[in-house]
Amino acid sequence: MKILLISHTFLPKYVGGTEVYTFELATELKAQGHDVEILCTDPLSKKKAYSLTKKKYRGLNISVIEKNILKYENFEQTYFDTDVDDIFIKFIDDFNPDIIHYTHLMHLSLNLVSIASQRGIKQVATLNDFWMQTHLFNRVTSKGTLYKEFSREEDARELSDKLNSGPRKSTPLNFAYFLKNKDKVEYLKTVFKKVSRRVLGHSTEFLNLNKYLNLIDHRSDKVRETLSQLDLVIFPTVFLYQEFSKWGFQSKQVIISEHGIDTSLFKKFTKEPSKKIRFAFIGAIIPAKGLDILLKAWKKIDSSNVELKIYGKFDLDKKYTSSIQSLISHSKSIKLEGTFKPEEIAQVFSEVDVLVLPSRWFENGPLVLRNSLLGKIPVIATNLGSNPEYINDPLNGLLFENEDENDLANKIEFLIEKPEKIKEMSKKILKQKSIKQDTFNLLYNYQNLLKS
Amino acid sequence: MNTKNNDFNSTEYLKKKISKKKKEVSKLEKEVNAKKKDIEKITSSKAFSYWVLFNKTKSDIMRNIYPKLLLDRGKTLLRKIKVDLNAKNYITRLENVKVSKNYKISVVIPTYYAESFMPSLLKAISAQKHIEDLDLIIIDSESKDKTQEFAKDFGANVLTIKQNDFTHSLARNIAAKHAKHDLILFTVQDELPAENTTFAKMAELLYLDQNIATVSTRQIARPDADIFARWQVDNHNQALDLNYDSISKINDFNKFSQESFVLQRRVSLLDNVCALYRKDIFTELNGFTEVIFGEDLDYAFKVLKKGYKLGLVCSTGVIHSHNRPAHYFLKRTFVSSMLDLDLLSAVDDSIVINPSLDLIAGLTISEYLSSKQTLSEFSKDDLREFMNKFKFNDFKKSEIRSELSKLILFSLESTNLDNKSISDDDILKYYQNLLNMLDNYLKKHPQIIASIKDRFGFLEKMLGTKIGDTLAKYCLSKQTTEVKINTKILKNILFGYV
Repeated sequence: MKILLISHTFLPKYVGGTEVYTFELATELKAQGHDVEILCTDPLSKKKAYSLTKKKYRGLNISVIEKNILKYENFEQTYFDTDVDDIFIKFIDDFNPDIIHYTHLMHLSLNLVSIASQRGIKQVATLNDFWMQTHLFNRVTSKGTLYKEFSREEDARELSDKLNSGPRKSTPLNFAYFLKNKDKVEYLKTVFKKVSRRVLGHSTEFLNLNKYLNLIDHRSDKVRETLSQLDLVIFPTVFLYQEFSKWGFQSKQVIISEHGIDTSLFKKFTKEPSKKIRFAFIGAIIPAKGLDILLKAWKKIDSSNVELKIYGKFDLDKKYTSSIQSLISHSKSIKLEGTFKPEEIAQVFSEVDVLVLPSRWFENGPLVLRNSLLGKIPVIATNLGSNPEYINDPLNGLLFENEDENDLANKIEFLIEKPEKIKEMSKKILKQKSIKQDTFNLLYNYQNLLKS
Repeated sequence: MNTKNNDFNSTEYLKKKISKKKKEVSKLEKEVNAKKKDIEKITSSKAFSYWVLFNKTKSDIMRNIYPKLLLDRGKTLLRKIKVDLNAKNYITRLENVKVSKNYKISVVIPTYYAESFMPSLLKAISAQKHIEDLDLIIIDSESKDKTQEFAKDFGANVLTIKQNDFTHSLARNIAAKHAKHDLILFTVQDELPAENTTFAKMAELLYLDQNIATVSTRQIARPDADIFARWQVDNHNQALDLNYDSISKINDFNKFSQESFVLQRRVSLLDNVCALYRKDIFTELNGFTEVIFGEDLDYAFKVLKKGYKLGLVCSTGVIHSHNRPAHYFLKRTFVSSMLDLDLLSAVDDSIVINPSLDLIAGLTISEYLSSKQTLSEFSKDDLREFMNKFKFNDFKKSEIRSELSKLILFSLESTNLDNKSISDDDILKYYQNLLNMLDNYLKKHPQIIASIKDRFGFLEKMLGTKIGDTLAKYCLSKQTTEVKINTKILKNILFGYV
């Protein structure tokens, strides 16, 4: 079978759950003798825009569409890109795939689906986040808060903020940047534009919400049209399925199927014994991942028999990092472990007794949670998004209410007081779906589509 | 290049130029001819003639039928106002419930080959918030797949019932006896709660008042529901006005029996797709009565007659719908209409009974449609030719193609329905009305994308329900005098050999 996997970005430059899943799926499909190609973009490329770079990555053929999303001129370009369409047409005419499987469509173009549909190619999409529903793909607002219930108005307001504040990273409003910048007149012009947009924009555009509602509706219409053309839509979690069903869309066939994960790293997994109970946080040090909630809870813990290990990159958000550092300096028994390579994950978990996942956004079966469960390490997680699908509180893990450090502290203390519960929970953790099993099911679905 | 420039005025050059132009002209002529052929092809096609016919019939409808439709709409509006006014006697409208505490519930799910539903269903159940303790009881009809294994891994209490013994009432009654908690939630294997507070919201409403015996919720169509399944769910929610949380109670049963069908249906709404029951009242009323179908509606009447109340939470819901073939809808609607009408004993003045037209139009069209691949092939001449070939009386003799037609014939025989003369135009108009119904629905829901194939499927399934419903009403109207419909016939139709 000739299978084309399409992802927004890909390894090794971009590392995330979707990229890792696409990689593992491609590797498994290839191992089973299928002809697999991967098409993705580099959205922050410095190479010639819309050139195609062919690469090999760990035995897989990767084609990267070079583009720069900072140069977008309007909102529509974030989901329609005719230059990407042209590259895609050439690509599928050359490769002639039997199945196209999208693991993400961001930075690409919604048109790809209708182009392939006209050619009669069977198409599958896995929806890994909310990008199809809203431009806020992870449902976190510009203020960093959780975007709980989807609404058109909220979406339009957020869009108005986004479009009126301009690209943030490229023109920061600070004096140091001004001194470094060579083209001072140009910079001042941009600053003036930004400030006037903020002042005028908020008063006039806010009243003029209809303009943004139209933009939102146009995007939603196009997404719904795209979804209706897909032959199979897969949701990796029940939570995403529920959120999309409430939002309302139609497709030919829709299933819920958990992602498989690479189980090989945990084949010979054994725990390193320790006298202390080792809690761990593993993830990026950004507000959405909620390390601050864990640290505030940790301050309330009064026990010498415990330690908290923090794995993650610190320099992603400077303001947040400094607030985290001050929280850490006030706490005891914290170990900063830095980052690790993906293949070292089992090694890391061998020295962890309980994982804490304090995210304040809607996680959708994150890899760190799945790997923890694979190693039978109980997890304390936010009672949010898909977390309760994996954690059956109090059978095999614990859940705490979002943003509630007291609740989290209670859950941590419960396990410190009754350490035997950790072992009991560990035994009740269910088997995790392997990428082999997932690929087997997917191939069955692919074959059914080709027969119909 | 230079030589060409030098010969710029030579005869040879001009000749060449002329022949080049001639070639261009002939090329253009060819293109024009091709376009002409294309246009001819389109105008001579059946699709085009259908399109013309469609527009002609439409203007015909505008002139002749539209005034009548307008009058009908006025009547419907009046009836709705009357229903809304009368509804206040039975239904208390509530603010949307907000969950204030945690609950303990027992969940009962009858299963049969549920392997493909179990992983997501169990996840959705365990993700329910504000549930202090959940005791899951699975009653399985001898599935040979992994249904029971999944349930056991989850820690569920797994009971079995022999496939031959299974009825919706019996299976649920057995399982309810094993429930640990005071609240029992009955649900089905192929639904998913729409959100993680669905169960808790239902429990919150149930505890508002000691006399509320059950709380059910509304349904939301699955994303892969076909147009007909979508229409069914949306139409049901709209017709019964399932837009707010409420409690129903009947004080005067005599007065209630005079109310319209829609109001009776709304007041007695209880849907076992997902419904929460108070165990003490369930025991007091001896659980579900042994009926072949509609054990929930039957229970709702037991509750109301005892003076208890029924709750309904519309601020949440369950994702549940089915894509099924047309003949299923005929059977299902026939049986459910029989039971609804029987139980509710209401005279529904909103639907004019014209069994002959429904049945014969249905018979003709379903048989016609089954012989055609796409709707674009459909033309008026085709239909006339077809109807000449298959006059009603000949149906029994001729070879029947569609499954739906077989059912109609079977039903016709069991009801002794007389044939009345129906003109071809009547049938065309009937057909047109069904299409208009779909168009109206699509206008109200512009986000729905309907291909010709989808519209085609809608028509066939719509016919199934219309015929089923008409047959039921006809049978019930004859029941006292001529035809006695017994449970055996109903069972045959529902589970039956046809």
